[in-house]
Amino acid sequence: MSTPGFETLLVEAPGAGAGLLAPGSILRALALGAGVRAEEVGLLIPVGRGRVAVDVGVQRAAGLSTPRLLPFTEGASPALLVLRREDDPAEEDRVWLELRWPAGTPRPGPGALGAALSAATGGSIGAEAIGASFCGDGWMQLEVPERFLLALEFPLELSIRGATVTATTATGGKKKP
Amino acid sequence: MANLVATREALQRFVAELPPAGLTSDRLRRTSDATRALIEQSLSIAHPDTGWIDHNLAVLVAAGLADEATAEASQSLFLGVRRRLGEALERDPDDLAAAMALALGAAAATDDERMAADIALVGAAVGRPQAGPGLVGAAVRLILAVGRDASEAVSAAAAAAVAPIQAAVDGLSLRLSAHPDTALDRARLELLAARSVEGDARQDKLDRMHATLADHEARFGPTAEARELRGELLGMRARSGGAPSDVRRDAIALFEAQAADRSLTPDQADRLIRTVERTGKLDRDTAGHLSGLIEALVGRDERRWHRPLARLLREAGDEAAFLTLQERALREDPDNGEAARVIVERLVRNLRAGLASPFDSDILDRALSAAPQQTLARWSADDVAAIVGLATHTFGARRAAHFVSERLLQNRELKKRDGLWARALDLWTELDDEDGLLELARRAVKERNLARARLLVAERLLARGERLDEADELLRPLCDARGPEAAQAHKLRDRLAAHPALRAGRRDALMAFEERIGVGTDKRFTLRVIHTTPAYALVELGELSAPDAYEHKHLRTVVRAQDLPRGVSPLHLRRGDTLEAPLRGQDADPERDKGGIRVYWVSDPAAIRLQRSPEEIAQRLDQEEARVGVGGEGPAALKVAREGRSGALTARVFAPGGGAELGERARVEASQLPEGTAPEQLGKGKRFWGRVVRRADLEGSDGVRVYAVEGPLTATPPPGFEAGDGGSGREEGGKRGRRRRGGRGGGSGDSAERGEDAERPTDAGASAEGGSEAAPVASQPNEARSGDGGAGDGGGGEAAPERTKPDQTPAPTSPAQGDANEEA
Repeated sequence: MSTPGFETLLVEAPGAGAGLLAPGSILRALALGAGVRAEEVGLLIPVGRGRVAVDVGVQRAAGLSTPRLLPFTEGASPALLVLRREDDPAEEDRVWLELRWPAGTPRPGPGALGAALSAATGGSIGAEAIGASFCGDGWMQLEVPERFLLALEFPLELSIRGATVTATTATGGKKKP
Repeated sequence: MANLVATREALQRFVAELPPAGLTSDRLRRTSDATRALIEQSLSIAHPDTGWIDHNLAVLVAAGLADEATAEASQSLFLGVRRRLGEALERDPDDLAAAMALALGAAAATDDERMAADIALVGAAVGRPQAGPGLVGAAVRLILAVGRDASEAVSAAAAAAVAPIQAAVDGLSLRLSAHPDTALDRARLELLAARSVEGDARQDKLDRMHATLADHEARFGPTAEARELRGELLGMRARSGGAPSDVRRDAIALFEAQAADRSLTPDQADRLIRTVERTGKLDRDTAGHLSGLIEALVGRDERRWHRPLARLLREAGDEAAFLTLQERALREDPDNGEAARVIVERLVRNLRAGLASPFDSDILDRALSAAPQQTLARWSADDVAAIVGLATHTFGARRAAHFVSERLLQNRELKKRDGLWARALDLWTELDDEDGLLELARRAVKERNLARARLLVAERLLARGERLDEADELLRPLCDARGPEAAQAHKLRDRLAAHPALRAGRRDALMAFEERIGVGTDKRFTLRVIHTTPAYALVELGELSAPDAYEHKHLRTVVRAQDLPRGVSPLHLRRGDTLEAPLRGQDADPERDKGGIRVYWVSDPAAIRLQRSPEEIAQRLDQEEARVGVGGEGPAALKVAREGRSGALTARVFAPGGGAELGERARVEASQLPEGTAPEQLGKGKRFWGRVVRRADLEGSDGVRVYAVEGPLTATPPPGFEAGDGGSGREEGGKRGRRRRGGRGGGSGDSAERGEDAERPTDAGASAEGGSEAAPVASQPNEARSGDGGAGDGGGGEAAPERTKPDQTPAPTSPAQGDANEEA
């Protein structure tokens, strides 16, 4: 139940960053990724591993469409949070993949990743269909057409320049209902 | 790093330009915000990898361009990051999102200098094995977008890209045989190939395209894209000699099919109608049939359908419906130029036939306001007069005046007609609208340089007492000409010159100039001699240009004879000699200096320094004497005349063969004249020959050399001389010849300045200044500034005074005053 005058949104830290939800990180990510100032934020209530309920002033929250990715920098490393509402609808014809690679190996570039994904579909989906991507430390989220769910089986292992990259759907291998 | 910051700002603009609502818009806004945060992330890291930022930018551009609602904002973003996307694709050729964005964006911005490079990049990208139908389709559209007027480099790049794109289409057809887009891409490439060939080869390509489309429709059913392509195919067939009946049949069938399922758009309908027109088989019945089909689709959106419907109604010969449609279109959209053109053309036709206007006044008003400029440009003078008359009768003089000045006189062709400007000035004069009239008259001056408009503006400004400088500028060119306008301009200028506001402004300007250059201080200025008389030398401050308020290009003053070093007379100085002296200025006397504002004096005669020493000057005089033969054995060429006041005879002395002339005149006695020649018969001067000597015994202490003719004069040229030696006919003409050249600044040299008819300065100034200072020259704005300086200075105006006695000091004098004296 929301505090009067506030709307409660959820901030999630997917993947390996799930333990990073310090209040300072959340506020910095909200400021950088969504332009929400600290004075517009109310209570921060942890609701599980990697999930925090954030009260945002009603007027400010009304201008925020979700789900929204919040990239920011944690120390010297890239970090990423997701801001969403409990009742966010699934996006039509777009899904998010979550990609992880072993620590110490470089992050795959868009060209190599697109070529590998296209090859994995047997060429039925071109690399130009790869959508936006946002990176955390050792993992990233990648927007792709829904058709990838038909052409591929998840979790999927891709070999990119000698490193193994594991791809899962951001909702655990199935399209979000 | 700077590029990254600029990219972040481009994204901010993009977000601001996105439509406020909509699924795509919302998603693009969220992705943009996140990408901006990604950029912030990179900006905080040393040596960041921007590959994914570029990828996200490309995704934003491509996704935005794919949606009509967000295409405009996305195209702006594309133009901002186009170079970045190209560089990203060069860095990572496998990232085909950048290639996709380049292909889609460049197809809508073909006039960019990067076009050829972008086509080459996209052409290379489609050769990658991971290229899918989306990218290949975008690449096909990109090379189709290259028009015939493209530059050579772009055309070459497009031609070079055809082969890899064709290979990619063929490869996709094999790999994804069930994909509907590959067949359409093949059809587009056939269309492109057909454009580049002629005759049978073109028909062959079009047949292949037809077959491809038929195959596609058989497999996937009728699609909007396939129908669009079929329409283009029929249009090209009609243009390139396809069988007319076949083209007509197919076009009408396509029209009917699309109309039946209500997928026909106005542009498609217009293109199909034009296709049928080209076949020459759009008869009345067909046009009626097709217009009936369109009317079922129009609904409330008649504006979009106006063009095809009008085309059909005209072909169907339904004149009343056609005109009603145009009127309705003009009522719905007052800027509809096509409807206005039709109505205005019909109106002009009626007026030429002497018929009344068939349109209501509101339609007439809209049509006159919206008629295209090309239509107005074709009107004859009679048409214009009739239309203006109709407008005056229907709407009154004010509306007609606005119509003429704001519509007709904005037209590139019509504004070349002076008569129309005159008519407009008449209309505005009748309205008694001073501001409107002034604005129009100023335009008439600017566009056509009309004398009437110049006078009109100057007169109005003078009456208001506003912008008098502008009035003066307008009148100045008229005063140089002749005719009634020039006379009127002179009168206005006289009134203008007497205006206190103008005098005050000019005085301020001159005072500021004096202060800036140091007039009134001990500073010595370099002054250049431009004219000499026995009493003074006229000099100017040649190194600085005077402000516009002054009458000459440079400040002028005079140096009196008694202020020169002992033994040097003003007549010893020559044009171009320089001297140094301090100057001071004072207000001109309006009574004495007509129009003058400031006059200048040598403030300290003792401080005058000559460029040449007296010895050097004497040496130069000796050389001049030798040149014309003074003191020699032989005679010199003379021109003998009688002085105006004293009646004494003097002679100008010339060297044999003309050219050189002695700076001073020789005395002649009446008894020396040839027999039968009386002094009264000399007129302006007669040519004689005689020996000239220097008479040191007659010279005074002022250093002026005295010459006299020795022995009798002869009227026949001695050996070595010609009858024309010693001046030209112009000099004999004297005053008349010089005045014809235009008064101020029109002289041609020393001989003209020293003529017998030189103007006479008044001598009142000497007494006014107590005789202690050199006489000033009044300042007065003068239009003949271009004639100032150099050889032309002072030849015919105030700078050519008559010889005066050495003890006379010339007073401030103005050109007008000089003219009056000359007449006297």
